Amino acid sequence: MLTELLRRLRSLARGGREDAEMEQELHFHLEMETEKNRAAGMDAREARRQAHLRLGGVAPVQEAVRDARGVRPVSDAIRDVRLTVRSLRRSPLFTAVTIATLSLGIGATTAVYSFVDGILLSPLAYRQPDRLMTVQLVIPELEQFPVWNVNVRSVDAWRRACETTCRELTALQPTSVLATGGTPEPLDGARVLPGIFDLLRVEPLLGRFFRDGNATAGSAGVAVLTHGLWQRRYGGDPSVLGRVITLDDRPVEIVGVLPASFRLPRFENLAATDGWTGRADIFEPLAWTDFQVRSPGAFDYLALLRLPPDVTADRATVELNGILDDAFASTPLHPRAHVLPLAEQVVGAARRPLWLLLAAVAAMLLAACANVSNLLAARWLERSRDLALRGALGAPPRDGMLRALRESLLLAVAGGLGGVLIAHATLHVLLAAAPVDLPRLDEVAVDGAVLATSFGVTLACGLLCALAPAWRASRVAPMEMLTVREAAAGRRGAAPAWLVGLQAALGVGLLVVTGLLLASFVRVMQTDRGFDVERLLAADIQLSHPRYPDPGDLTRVYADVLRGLEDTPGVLAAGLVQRLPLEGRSFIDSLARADDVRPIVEWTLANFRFVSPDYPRAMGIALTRGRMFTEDDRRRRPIVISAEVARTLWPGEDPIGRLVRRGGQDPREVVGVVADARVVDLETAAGFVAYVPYWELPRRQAIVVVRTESDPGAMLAAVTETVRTVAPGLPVHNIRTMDGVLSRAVAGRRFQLSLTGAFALAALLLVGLGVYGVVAAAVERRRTEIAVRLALGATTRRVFGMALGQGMRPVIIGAVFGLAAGVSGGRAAAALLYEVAPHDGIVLGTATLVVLAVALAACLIPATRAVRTPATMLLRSE
Amino acid sequence: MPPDRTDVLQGTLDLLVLRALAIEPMHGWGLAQRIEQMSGDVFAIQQGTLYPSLQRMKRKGWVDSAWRVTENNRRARYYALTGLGRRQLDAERAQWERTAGAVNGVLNWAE
Repeated sequence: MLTELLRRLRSLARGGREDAEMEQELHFHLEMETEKNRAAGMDAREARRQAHLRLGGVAPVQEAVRDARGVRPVSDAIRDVRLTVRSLRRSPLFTAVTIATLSLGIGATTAVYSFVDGILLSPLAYRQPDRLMTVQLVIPELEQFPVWNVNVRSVDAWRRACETTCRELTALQPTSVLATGGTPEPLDGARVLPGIFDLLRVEPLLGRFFRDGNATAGSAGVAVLTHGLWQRRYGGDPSVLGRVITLDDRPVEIVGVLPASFRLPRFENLAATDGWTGRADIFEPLAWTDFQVRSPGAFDYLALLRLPPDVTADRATVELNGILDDAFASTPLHPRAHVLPLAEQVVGAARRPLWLLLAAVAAMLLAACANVSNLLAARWLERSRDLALRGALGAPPRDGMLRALRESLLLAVAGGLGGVLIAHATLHVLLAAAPVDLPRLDEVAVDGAVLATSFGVTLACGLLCALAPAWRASRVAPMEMLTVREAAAGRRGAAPAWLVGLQAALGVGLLVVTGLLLASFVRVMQTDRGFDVERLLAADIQLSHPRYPDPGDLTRVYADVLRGLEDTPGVLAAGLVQRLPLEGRSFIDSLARADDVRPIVEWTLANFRFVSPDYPRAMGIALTRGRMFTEDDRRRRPIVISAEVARTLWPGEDPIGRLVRRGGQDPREVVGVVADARVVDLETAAGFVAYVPYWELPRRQAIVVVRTESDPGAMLAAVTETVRTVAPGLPVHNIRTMDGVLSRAVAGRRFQLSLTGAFALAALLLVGLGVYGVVAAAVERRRTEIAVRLALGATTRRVFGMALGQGMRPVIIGAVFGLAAGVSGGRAAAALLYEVAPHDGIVLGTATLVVLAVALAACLIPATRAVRTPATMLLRSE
Repeated sequence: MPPDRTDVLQGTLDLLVLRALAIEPMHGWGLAQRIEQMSGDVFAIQQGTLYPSLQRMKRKGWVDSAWRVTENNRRARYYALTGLGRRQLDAERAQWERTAGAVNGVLNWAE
């Protein structure tokens, strides 16, 4: 089989020489025969003629020999491809337009598919990733926010009591430390239980990982670097092992380096830790104290579990729950284990948006194919006479269809090549535009799997595009074509009308989805956020432990920094907070009126914010009643509540001077009420928010916010400089404008909207071109008829009516299907919609009208041309 | 073509070619002449079918070919029987004799 194939290929390669030799051989044969004939007494001409007759012609014998050699189908195919290429070259504009259309379509599809493949389809880059699970806790008592990360109490209990399931269970705590000694640099990373690297099946590139013995509280520090940090900060120097570095002013010995391929799973959905970016630079061993083990709260740890081969997630959950029952028997909270595949945790939120994008781009590609199919069909209509002639001469009808298929496959392959190049060239643009919270972006690439898929897509496009022309090519009646000139062709459309209808349906569907996303985006942006993002800067500051050992130092430094900032020219107000609005929830505790007698677990949960007195003013959160706390309140326990708290706890009453309680603490006096602000994220109301003075919980990390008079970008240096002057050695990092924070919060929406919108616009353009093509072809064919009608007194209105009927009927039918498709698309995208229903009347109506208007314009252009045809035209063309 | 001459029997051209080449290597035209001559000028070779047949046999390895100079000093492609071709000739000949014997048996059946 294989040798036969090789032989055929070889003989194909040698085909030219073989042909030449055979020609020579036949030539010799003819000469010999001629001589023989002459010897028999014929004259030279007759001798030659008889010789040719006897042989039966050189060409047929050559053909038969080629057949015998077994290369005919291959060489035929090559000849056919050459013919097709030549015929395409003769119409360069047509060829360029179709290839460009397909390139853009396939390119966009390939690029989007590379996202789907890299993020959703390819397995996580760990060995046996399907066995990796995350463990969270669902706490039924906290019904507002039931899902929490794990705490020390639960992990400790699991590791002690659980035998089969948790052989490989580990926990990590995101950290952010300050590396000094050299340039101070804040490093993100995690404290981890020693088993984590074994669990993820990574080997150290250099040195070693942690031993169990390392993980005792208070032992001398050791650390493992990621490859990135090792390269960046230590120049990839192998002698870094054993070096003692300074982290938060503690000496820490570097014992190992991770390989470049290592990635810490990104727990975007899980991370509720201040300022943690999910980036990992450095790992230190996690240790805990007995006090932490006893504490029922502090759900600050991320848990990873590798299921043993024979254990299902359900069985693991049962075992974990049994242990939780014992461990939390005496506490007011009774958490349940929530075991979820790591892959689901990492990419779950990205799944629906990405599939939707893929559906949108596929719809656009389908519309593009319909267009190309349309163009090809029109070409075949021009060839009708040629085809009819061939048919009359005995060419089987199959020939025309095969020719159409060949042509469209060839165009598709060219388009596919162009598409892959486009995808390759534009992928980095898309990656740069992609929202940073899209996971696994570094794994998105146009790789083998993507190429294989786009090859399949290319072939599918070729077949789709061949539909209309093949249909057309197979419908040629020789007699009719040869006798009647154009009237017969005129009664048949250039392309099946359903192609245009399909385009209209896809166009309307895409526009509806785009409209829904756009309406959502606009509404999200118009939401009353409760704070003002204009001219607002935010920066993280971090106070290291040994330099400021006493909590009193911290509040003093913060106060100095704030005063310094307020005195900086160009600064209107400065405030301090631990967590910026839109950057997630944190500091959640229960809040109730001081006279509430229910158990604490039944109280409402509130986001607490530890802020400076000027924070609301700097942030632009309106004070609606009472006052903010002041420096004079340091000896009291004041609290400022959000309007939502005031409305709920004291409906219709003045809350000022009333008492509330946070958790089990002593009562606090409400001194002021501020407007509701979206402190957690942009799209959900924050619920209860309470503001208490920052000096009550001085932390080493804080965020300063600065309201500036003019462009905040220009104030960056001044702000940094002020902080450096007031508190030398205090690192200021992650400086951002609130505008940027808002922009990041809607980055996912913007990405989804702009891509879907681009696909919808492309589809709209294709609808226009499709309709134009159909109507123009119809008008062109019936030009004589139209001229005659006009000459005989038909009104231009009738002519317009004819053109509109031809173009608009399929569009209107298509639009109806498109509306249905758009609504189901909107339903599928419900999670992405914001305050807009999938069947929103305005969106549906606008989408339909836009498509109809484009189609109408596309009808009118050729129709106008038709009615301007003067009757003399008739005479000339006849 | 004179009326008393007849086409080569379907499927026997290969056998005749192999048999003729068993005498000596020949070029295509010579082969056609030789077969006609050997048949006592009963068979008229359809010259056009000779070359595809040679090509097929070459593919199967029964014959080999080489360009040589003829006695009249012309270049021609000569075909020669290979070992495989010789075995094929024996096999086809045996097959033919069985068939011919059977046909004769039928024709000479005494009623």
